[in-house]
Amino acid sequence: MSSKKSDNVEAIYPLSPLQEGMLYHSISDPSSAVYLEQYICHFRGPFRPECLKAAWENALQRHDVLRTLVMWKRKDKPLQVVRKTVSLPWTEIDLSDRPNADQQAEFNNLIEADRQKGFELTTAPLMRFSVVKFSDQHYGFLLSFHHLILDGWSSAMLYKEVYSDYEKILNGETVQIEKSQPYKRYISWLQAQDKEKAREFWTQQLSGLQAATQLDIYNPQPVTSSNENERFTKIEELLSPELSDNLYALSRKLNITVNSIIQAGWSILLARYTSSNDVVFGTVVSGRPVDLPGSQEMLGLFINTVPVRTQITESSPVASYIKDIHQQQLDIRDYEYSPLVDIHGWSEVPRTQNLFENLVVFEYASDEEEQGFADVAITDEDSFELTNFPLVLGVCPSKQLLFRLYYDLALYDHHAAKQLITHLQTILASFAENPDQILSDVTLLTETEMNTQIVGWNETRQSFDEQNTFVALFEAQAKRQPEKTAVIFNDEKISYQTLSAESDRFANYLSETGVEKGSLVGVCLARSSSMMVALLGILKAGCAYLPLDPDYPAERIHYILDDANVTTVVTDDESANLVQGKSFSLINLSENPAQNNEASYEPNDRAIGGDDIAYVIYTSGSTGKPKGVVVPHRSVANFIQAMAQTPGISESDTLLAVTTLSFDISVLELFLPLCFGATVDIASRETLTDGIKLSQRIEASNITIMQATPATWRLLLSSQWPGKRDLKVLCGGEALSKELADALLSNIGELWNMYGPTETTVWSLTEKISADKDILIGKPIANTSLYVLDPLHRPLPVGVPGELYIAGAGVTKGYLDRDTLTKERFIDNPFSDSHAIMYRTGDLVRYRTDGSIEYLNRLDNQVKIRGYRIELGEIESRLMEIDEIRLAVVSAFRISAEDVRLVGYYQLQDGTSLTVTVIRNHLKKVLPAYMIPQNFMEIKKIPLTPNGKVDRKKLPSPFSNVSLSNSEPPETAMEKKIAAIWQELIGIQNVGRHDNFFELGGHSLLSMQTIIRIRDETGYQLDLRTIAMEDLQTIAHLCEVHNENPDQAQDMEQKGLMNRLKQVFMKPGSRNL
Amino acid sequence: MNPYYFSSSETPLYGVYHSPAQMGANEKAILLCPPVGQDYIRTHRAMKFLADQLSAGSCHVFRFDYFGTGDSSGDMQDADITVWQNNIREAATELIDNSGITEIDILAVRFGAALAASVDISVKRFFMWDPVFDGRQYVEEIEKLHTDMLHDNDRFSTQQTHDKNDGHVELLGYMYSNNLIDAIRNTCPENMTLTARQYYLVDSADSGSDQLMRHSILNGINKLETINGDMPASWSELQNLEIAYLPFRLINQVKEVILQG
Repeated sequence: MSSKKSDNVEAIYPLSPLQEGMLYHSISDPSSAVYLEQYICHFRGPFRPECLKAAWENALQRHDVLRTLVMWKRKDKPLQVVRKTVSLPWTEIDLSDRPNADQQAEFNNLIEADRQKGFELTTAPLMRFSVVKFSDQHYGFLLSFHHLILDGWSSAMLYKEVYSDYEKILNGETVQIEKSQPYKRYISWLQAQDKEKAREFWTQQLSGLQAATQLDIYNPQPVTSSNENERFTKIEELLSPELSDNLYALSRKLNITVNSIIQAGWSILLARYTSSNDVVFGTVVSGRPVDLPGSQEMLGLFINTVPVRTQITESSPVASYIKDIHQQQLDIRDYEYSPLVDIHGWSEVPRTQNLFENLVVFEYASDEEEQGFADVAITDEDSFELTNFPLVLGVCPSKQLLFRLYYDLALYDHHAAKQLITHLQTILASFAENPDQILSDVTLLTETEMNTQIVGWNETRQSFDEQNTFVALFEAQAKRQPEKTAVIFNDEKISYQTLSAESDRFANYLSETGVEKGSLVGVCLARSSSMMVALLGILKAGCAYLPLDPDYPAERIHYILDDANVTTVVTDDESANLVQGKSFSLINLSENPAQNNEASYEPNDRAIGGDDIAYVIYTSGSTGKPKGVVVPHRSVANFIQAMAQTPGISESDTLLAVTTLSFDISVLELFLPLCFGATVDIASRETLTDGIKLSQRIEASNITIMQATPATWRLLLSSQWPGKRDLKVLCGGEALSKELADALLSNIGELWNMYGPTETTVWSLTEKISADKDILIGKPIANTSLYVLDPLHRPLPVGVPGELYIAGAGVTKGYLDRDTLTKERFIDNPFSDSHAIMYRTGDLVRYRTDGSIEYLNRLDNQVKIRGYRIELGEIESRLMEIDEIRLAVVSAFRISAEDVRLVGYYQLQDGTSLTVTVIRNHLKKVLPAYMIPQNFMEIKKIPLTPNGKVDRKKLPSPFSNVSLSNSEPPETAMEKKIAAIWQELIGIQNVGRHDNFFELGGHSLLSMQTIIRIRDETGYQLDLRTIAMEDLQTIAHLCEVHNENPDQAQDMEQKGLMNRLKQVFMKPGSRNL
Repeated sequence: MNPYYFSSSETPLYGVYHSPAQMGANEKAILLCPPVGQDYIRTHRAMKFLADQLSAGSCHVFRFDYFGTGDSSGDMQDADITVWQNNIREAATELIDNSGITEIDILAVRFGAALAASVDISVKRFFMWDPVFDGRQYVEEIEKLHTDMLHDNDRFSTQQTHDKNDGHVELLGYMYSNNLIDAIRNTCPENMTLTARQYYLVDSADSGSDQLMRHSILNGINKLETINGDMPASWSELQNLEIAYLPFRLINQVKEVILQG
C-alpha cells in the first residue's frame, strides 16, 4: 500500500466468517450478482437531491462499515480495511425531457446495468447511489451495496437516520456527526467466544442428522441457464386477513412469536413432502449479541444463517410442537454466532453436501412504515438480492402476512412454488383452527386436490361382470368360432373347438381321479399346446393351477409343493424328474392319461365363480421363503377385459407368448387372446433364450402383439432384430428406459408400458409410450384406484414422491397361508367403500399434473432383475444357511437402466474359512439362477447403524477400481508440496494425489488460504476459480493443468469455463459459509 | 479389486476379481493364467498392472494362483498338471459367474499358456504371451539356470550343490515333484484342446529358443495375430533372474487389443 493510502487507514481487522463466505463467493464469480443488494424507490414531492447527497455523506463519515473495503490478495487471511475518508459515489441523471414510457424503461436499464457491474471489493465504499430525475416532483433512487457491509436491520436503521439528516439539512439545522460504534468491536466479540461450547451445542442439536432435507418435486422444464437472473425468481402471496389474524391470535395465545409458528409450519411441510420425521432447514438470525453493549444500534453484517432441525412425533399436539420450535430458537440464540461452516463440520453431514437446502427468513420490519420524509413520499419500493439457496421463504410481518418465495427454476417451477405456498397456508390454517390436534391430523392438501386425486383420477368404473370368468369368455369364443386357430406351437395348430374339447376332457379326467374342486394343482410342464389344455382343464375342473418353473432348482420346487399342500402335479416326460419322490400324485401328460382313461368330452359341470381361485403364483419372500399369491377369477376376469380395451386386442390378432408360466404376466399372453377370439402362438423354450432365434421366430410368424420384459426386448435388439412395423409391443416387469423405448419405437407399431404387482393381478396401470413424452407407468386400468400416500397413508401432492397403493377389482386374496404378511400388505382402504382393501406396493412413485403416475424407485429391498422380482432378504436367508456364515447382506447395484447386479456380502464365523465356490454351489441348489449374486465379498465386520440394522451405505462396492483412484501418494515434487499444504490446512495425514479437496474436509474458506499458500510456496499462480473446478480438486489434475497451461486462468475465461464454475459454486459444499 | 478364495474349502485357490470401471455395453472378461516357478515372480507385477489397466476400461479380469503356488493352498511339490488344468477351468467359471459374460478371453503367460492350451475349453480369444510349448526345452532351461545360479559367485560365496530329495527336485527355489517335472517335460500341445475364435501371440523380442516348436504349432491355427514388443530381459539369462518383467509398452499394446476387441 502506498504511503498516501496507508495514511487513509483508520482500522484493519479480520472478517467475520459470514463475511469471508460472501467474499469467497464474490471473488470466485465476480460477474455474479450474489450478495449485491439493490434498494430502489421513487421520491414524489419537493425532493432535493443535494440534501440527500449531503445526508449520505454524513452517513459515510459516521459509520465505519460504509468506508470499508476488503483485502485478500497477498494475504494469508483476508482483512477488512476502514478508510478514514472516502468519496461518495453519486450519480445524477436527468431524464425529464424523455417521454414517460421511456423514462421508466431507462431507469430499469440503469438498474440492470448497475447489477451487472458488481463491486470491486478492494475499493471503498462498497456502495453507490444513482438519482434519476423524471420531473421536478418525481425522482427515482437506486442504492446498491455489497451485503458484506450491511444486513437488513442495519440498512433500515441507516435509511431512517439519512432521512432524518435530510430534514435537518433541508431546514438548515446543524447535523452532528458522531462516530458510531465500530464494527470492529463485534469482530473482537466474535473472536472471544467459546468455540468448544458452541461445538457441544451444535453437535447435540444435529446429532444423527446425516443429510439435508431435499425437496424433490417434479420439474418438467428445469432452467439450465448459468445466469442467475434467469434462474431465480419469486412469487408473492398475501395471506388472507382471516388467516393472518388467526395466526397472530395463536401467537398471543401460546405466547410465542409468529416466526415460530411459520417455522413450525414449514417444518411440517418439509416433513410431509419428504415423508421424513427428521427435517432441517435454515433460518437467518439477527446475530446481534445481547451481551455486546450497543449491538442493537450498530451497523454492519451481523446476520447469520443457522440450521433449524426438528424431529417430529406425529402424536404430538400442534401447540406443544410449536412451543418446542420456539424454545429451540431461544436456545440457539446463545450460539447463533457460530459460523455455518463450523456448524456443518460438527455435524455428520458430509462436507460435499449442503447442511440444508432451503431457508425461512423473517424479514425485518421497522416499527413504522417509512412512508416519506420532509413532505417527500417514498413510493414503489423494491429491492433486489440474490441468494444462493434454491428455495427461500421470506415472511414479511404486517397486518396481513406476506409470503415471498424465492426459488431456483433449475429445481422448481412455478407450479411447485405455488403449491408449496398453498400447502403452507393449509398447514398454518390447520394449526390455527385446532392447535390441540395432533400433528398427524394436520391438513396438507386442499379440498380440491383431495377430490381430484382420490375421486376424479380414480373414475375407472366399468361394468364388467365379475362372475364372468375368463374361462367362460374363452368358451364363448369357442362357440362363436370353433374352427379358428386358438393355439400355435411350432408347427402344431389347435382350433378353439379342439382346445375346448380337450380341456373339457382333461377337466373330467381330473374330476374322475379325485381332484376336488378348489384344489391347487401343480403344473410343471414344458411349453407346448398340451400346457394350454392342462391349464384350461384345471380351471374348468374348478381347481387352481400353481406353476412350477422347470428351471427352478429341485429344492425350490419341492418347497413350493410342500408349502402349498399340493396333492396333484401335472407334468410331462421332460420335467417329471423334478417332481419325483414327494407325497402327491403325478399326472404325466406325455402318457395321454385323459385319452387312456377314456375321460368324457362332456363339459365339466363344476361351476366356477368370481371368488374361486384361478391360480397361485409364488414370488420371492423377504424372510427367506417364497410366498404364494392367491388370485381369484374375478380379478383375472376384470384384468382380461380391461386389457381388451387398453392396450386392446381383436380377433385378428396373434400374440406370441414368450413368458414362463411361473411369471404372472403369462396370464395375459396365454388367456387374453383366447378370450377375444385371437390366437396365441407359444414360443418354445429354446427360442426364448436365443435372441437370434427369437428374432427369426417373430419374422417367420404372423404375430401382431408381443409382451416381454425390457431384458427380452434388449436381447432382441442386440441380436439385430429389424423390428416389425405392425407389432404392438407390451413392455413390463421392470422399468422401461427412455433409451430402450426410443430404440423400440423406431421399429414397431405401438409401445405400451405396463405396470403391476402380482398381488393386484398382472398389470394395474398402462401407458402408451411416444417418443416425445416421458416414460410413465400411466393411469389405472378399469375398476382400479390408485393412491400416492405417505407412511401414514395421507395423500401426497402432485409431483411429490410417495408409495403407490392400489385398490379395486385386481386386488387379490393375499398370500397363501400367510395371514400376518397378508394383513401387512393388504390393508383397509380409508378412501373408498367399494374398494375396501388396498395393496401397498412398496413402489415409490409420484403424480404428474394430469393424474399419470411416474415410477421412481423401490422403497424396500425388493429388486427386479430381468423382470424377475427378487427379495434380497430371501437370498440373505439362504446365505446364512451356510454354517460358516455369521451374517450376510445382499445389495443390488444398478449399473444402467436395465442392468442390476447383485453382490453378496458375508461375515464369517470366527475361526472359519469359506470359498466363494462353496457359497455359489449352495445357492445354486436352492435359488433360481437369476437370484444368485454375481459377486461376493467377505467383510470382516458387516457395518451396522446405531439401531443395529445393516448400514448398507457403508458396504464397499465391488465395482470401484481402488488401485487407480484414491490414496495413491503424490509423485512429483510439486504434488508433494501441495499435498503437504493440504495436510496442514485440512488437518489430516496422507493426502493422496487423487483425493478430492472437499471430500477430505476442505471447504470454501480454507480454499482461499490454500491458494495463497500454494502460490507463495510453489510459485504456482492459482486463481481461486481454479480450485473450484471439479476437475481440479485433486492434486493430480491440478498439476496436470499447470503443466499443460500455466496461464490456465485466462484460458478458462476464453474457453467459457466460467459458466461451469458457476454451476460448481452452486453445488453443495461451496454454499455453507 | 476383490481378492477371495474359490474352489473347494479343502483346497481353496486364491483369486482376485477386478470389476470394470466402465460398465454397460461392450464389457469383456479375461482370465489371466500365470506362469509357474520363477517366471511367476518375475511377471506378477506385470499381471497386476495389466489387470488394473484392463479393469480401468470395460474389462472384467480374474487373476488366480494355481494350487501349490502363490497364495493358493497346497504345496508345489504336491501339484500336478491335471490339478492345474482343473484350476484353470474353475477360475474360468469364477470369471463367468462374476462377470455374467459367458464367452471369455484367456491370456496366459509362458508355461501358463501351455497349461491353458491343454484345457478343454472354448473361449472367445486366446492370448499366448511368450508361450512355452516345448516342455523338454523349458525344463532344460530352468535346470541350467538353476545350476548356473548355484555356481554364481555373485550370489553365493561358495558353490552350492543341487538339492535333490526323494521324489522331488528343487529348481530356482521351487520344489517340483519328479512327476510334475516329467509332465512338464512331456508337454507338447501339438493338438490344443482349447479352442478360440481368435488367437494372439504376444511375442517379446527374445522369447527363448522355443520358436521352432511354437512356429509349427501356431501355423496350424487359423486367425492368429501377433503383437510384438521389446522385452527388457530374456527369460533364460541368469542375470535377469531376479528382474521383474514389466514391459509397459507391450502391456499397453496388449491392453488396447483386448479392450478394442
